[in-house]
Formats: sequence, structure tokens, C-alpha cells
Amino acid sequence: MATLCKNCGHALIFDPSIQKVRCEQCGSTFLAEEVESESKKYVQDQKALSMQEVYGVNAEGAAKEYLDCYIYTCSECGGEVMINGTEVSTKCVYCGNPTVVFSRISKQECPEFIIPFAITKEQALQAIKTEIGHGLFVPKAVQTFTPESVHGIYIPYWIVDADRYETTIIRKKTSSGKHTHITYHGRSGTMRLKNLPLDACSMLSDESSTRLEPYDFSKMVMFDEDYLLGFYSNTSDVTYGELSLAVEERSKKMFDEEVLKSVKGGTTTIIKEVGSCAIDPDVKYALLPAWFVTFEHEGQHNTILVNGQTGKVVCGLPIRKALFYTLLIITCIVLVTVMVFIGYHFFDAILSSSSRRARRSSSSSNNNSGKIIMGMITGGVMMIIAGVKKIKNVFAKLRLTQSAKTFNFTKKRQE
Amino acid sequence: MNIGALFFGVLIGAPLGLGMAFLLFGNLLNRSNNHGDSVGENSRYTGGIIFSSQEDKKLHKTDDQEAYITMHTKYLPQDPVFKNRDARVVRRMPQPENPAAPAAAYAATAAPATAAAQAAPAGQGFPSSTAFPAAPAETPAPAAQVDPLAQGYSLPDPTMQGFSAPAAPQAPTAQDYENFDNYIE
Repeated sequence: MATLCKNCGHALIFDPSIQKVRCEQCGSTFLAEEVESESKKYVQDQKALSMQEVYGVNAEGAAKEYLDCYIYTCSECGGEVMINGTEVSTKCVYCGNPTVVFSRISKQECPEFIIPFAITKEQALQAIKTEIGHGLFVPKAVQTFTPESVHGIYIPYWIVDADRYETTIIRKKTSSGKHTHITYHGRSGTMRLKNLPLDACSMLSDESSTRLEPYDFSKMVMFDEDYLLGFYSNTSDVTYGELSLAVEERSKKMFDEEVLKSVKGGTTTIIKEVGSCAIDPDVKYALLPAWFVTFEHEGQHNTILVNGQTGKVVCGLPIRKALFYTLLIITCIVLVTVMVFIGYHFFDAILSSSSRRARRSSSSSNNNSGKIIMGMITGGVMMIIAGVKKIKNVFAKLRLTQSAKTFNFTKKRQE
Repeated sequence: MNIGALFFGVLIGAPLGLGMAFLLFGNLLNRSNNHGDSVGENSRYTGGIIFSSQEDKKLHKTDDQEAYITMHTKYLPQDPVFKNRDARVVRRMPQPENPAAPAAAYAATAAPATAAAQAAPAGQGFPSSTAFPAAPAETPAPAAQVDPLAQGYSLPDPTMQGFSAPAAPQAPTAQDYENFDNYIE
């Protein structure tokens, strides 16, 4: 249902620019916490019903896309609003009023905290234009894209405190001249993690939600459903197992990064580690804001994310393939030619001097030349491995924007 | 023309040139098309590691490394194993969520809420309702005028003020170190 204006009875929406709920009809503004809706109490028990309950569609007969669909009746116009299994707030497709499914945020499912949207839709779009407007390999059509849809969505997060205990063995390799020195270092300790946000929505990829960080938790306020007005939101649907796994992975990565800093100098690698993570039981449940902007490019759906509090833009954009590959091939030819030219003269000098020394029967100089050649071959192989790895990593990150999971999370909502 | 030098020049120059080109274009593409590729810095969420042991010698042999790990990991608290942890959805619960979770799992943490877990009877890992804030809907005053901390809430603190590191898990005793030293010849 929608919360209505006390003055004119029109539906209220939350306006990030003034941090208040505003009536679009008469322009009245109210603090979200001050708005009391009598009717809220009456709709607490009005639940969203599954398609099967409403139309008697069974799992076998139903199309796959309807299996996770629920019907909620708009309290303003009586229209049927279709929502997925975890949606809390949406818009009525018929009357356009913001709709909050109160039964999904009652009691245990109610978030404790919320960071209200601070970035408006226009600011989010402007931030995107500024961010992607100058990329060398970004197609012109993408730089001046027209958004297909722009959704402000509150993502559910569990904010976790935890202790990471770990024991590691670190190998340190230091090179001086021709000699390589290897030492081993043992480290055991505890890392206290505080206010670690973990996305609680299985429909959204962890990679996308993690990149939206950081959020400023000092701006967090007590949850009030009126902050949801005009925005979409979901409720948590992760299991204890998934939450534990996410904390484990994140804390391990952070511990490893920190523990390597304790061994100074040389190249350090963790070769053995055993650890565990204990999560404090008082995990906090919060809704954090993000804008999801979708657009289509060459038949592919793309989604750009914007942190709804800080305006940080997260995206991997389509590339100008012709330009990229042409420049890459030209650069490869130039660099290979230069390196072969340098290599030819280098080895010519080495081989000539070693053959002169060989005539004077000095076996040690032949050994040295062999070592240099082997060292340079190893260096070349390592360089090409590093280069290919880098390109693969970047392409994998760029695919984030084309992720069907993120697109479906955004798009399958009532407009 | 020195054929040998040309062979080695191609053998080394080609991978070096290709590798450099890939690295260069990988970085260029990353700068141009990949935005917001960063997560929250570690310092936002942690004050760092409190080491209970740092050993910079004596660990050259594999057996010594295994002994070091074994000695320190036997004090690690075990992950709490919740019943049906992979099927149960995480929820705020005013009552113990899962009576099967072991209370001892949290014994090493010093957070105030953990006291409730420690105080819980055996076999009751989650704290009672005292550890959870009351539902916000029951708070009558506007949030701007409410001091959540005064109401028993623990609001996230990005400045890490009030951060107190937990007591280290039972540190190895002198006897353990002696055993370890004796073990390593």
C-alpha cells in the first residue's frame, strides 16, 4: 500500500534531495519518521499470494518465469501487482502509486537500519555520463546511451562483526645478484572485523554488491518503511550457510592481505594456512541504496550500478572491438619487432664472445651464456603469461555489466 | 647474419613483445571501460591483526612448518555448526534461532552481545532477545532525535571508535613453546 499525504490524500514518495517524503500533488513534505499511516496497521496481514494460490497454476503447468511470482493487491486501486519472492516495495502498474508489502517487513523480517537514498535519479545519471564519457574503448553509442530503465533499489545486507583466527606459513624470496634466498615465516593471530556488509539477496551477484562499497554507516538511521516509498526493495533470502561462507571468504582474503604486510622485503607467498571465523550472533540487518540503470547495446542488455549514497559508479562497459583489436595487433607487431631486434643484437654479441672464449677453452663462460639465455627465456614466458592473464581478468570484469543475473534482478519489476 | 642469434632473438623477443603489449592494453582497457572496480578497504572494517605468535626462524623443514601450524591451530575455535545451516534463511529472531548451535563457539569473542551467548545454557548458541534491538516500529520518537546507542543498539561505527580487539584465543603456553623448541632440533 502507499502512504498518503495528510493534506491532499495523494501518494507520498521519498525525495533523496531533501531527505523527506514529498507529495507530488500538493508539494507538502514530511520527515519519514513523522508520517503515520493508520491504514498500515490494517494491511500488516495482507500477504502476497503465490500464483498457484491465486490462479491455481501448478508447478508443472506454469511457465518457469511465473514460479517465483506473487500477487499483491494494491490498496489504492485494487489492481494486481506482480512481485517476486523477496520484493518488499514496488510500484503499482495500474495507478503508479508506491506499494509496500508490509507483511514482508513485519517482525523478524523487518530491517533494523536503512541508509536512505542521498543521490537522486538525475544525479545518478549525471555521475554515469561523467564517468564513462571519456573512455578510449567505449563505443560512442554507449557514451551517449539512453537508459532503458532506471530503478532505485534498496539491497538487503547483513552487517556482521566477526573474529578471524588463522595460522599461516609465509615463504619469502629475496634475490641479490645471482643468488636467491628463501626464508619461511610463521604467523598466528586474530583479526577483529567490524561492520562488514554482506549482500543478503541471492538474486544479486556478490561481485556486483561488493563493488558498490564503501557505504558510510554513520548516515545510517533506524528503519522506517516510508523511506521505501517510490523505490524498490528486497528482503533477505540467504541461508546461514551462505552467510558463513561469505564471511569466511571475505575475512580470509583480508587476513591474507594483512598478514603478508608483516613480512617485509622480497616476494612473499602464503604456502600453508589454517584458520576459522567466528561470527558474532548479533548480526545487523540493513537496507542499503543503489541505482540500477539498464541499457541495450547491440542486442545485449547492460546494467550500470550507482551507489545510492556516495554516487560511486560500478560498471564494465562494452568495447569498441575493431579499434581495440587493431591497436592491439599493431602494438604487438611493433613491440615484437623491437624486442626481436634488440634480442638479435644481444645474442649476437653473447654468442660471438662465447665462441671466442670457447676457442680459448673456457667452459665457465659457456655456462654463463647458457644461464643468461635460460633466464631470458623464463622471463619472456612469464611476461606473456602475465599479459594474457591481465587481458583475461579485464574481460571477465567487463562481463559484469552484461550479467543476466544483475539484469534480471533489476528488470523483472513493475514499472 | 647470425642464425643462432636470430633464433634466440625471436624465441625471447616474441613472448616479451606480446606480453608487454597485452599488459599495456589490459591496463588501458581497464582504465577505459572498467569503473568502480574496488571494494571497501580493509582498514574500514578491521584494526589489523593481533599476533599471538611470529616465528621468523626454525621453519625451513616441512615437518617444522606442520608442527607450527598444528601447535597454533589446536587453539582455534571451531566454526559453529548450525542445524540445517544451508537450508535456513537468516532472520532477525527475538528468540534463540537455533538451539543446536554450540555456545562455546563464541567464547573467544569479547563483544558485549557475546556475553549473552556465553550466558546461554548449554546447547543454546544464539543469545536471548536481550542481544537484539527492539523493532524500530516500536520506537516512537523520530530517529534523528534518538540515540540508538542509549537504547542498547549498536550502530555501525565507521570511525572504529570504541573498537576493542577481542582477547586472543587461548595462547600457547610456555610448555607448548618448550615442546615446540624441543621438537625442532
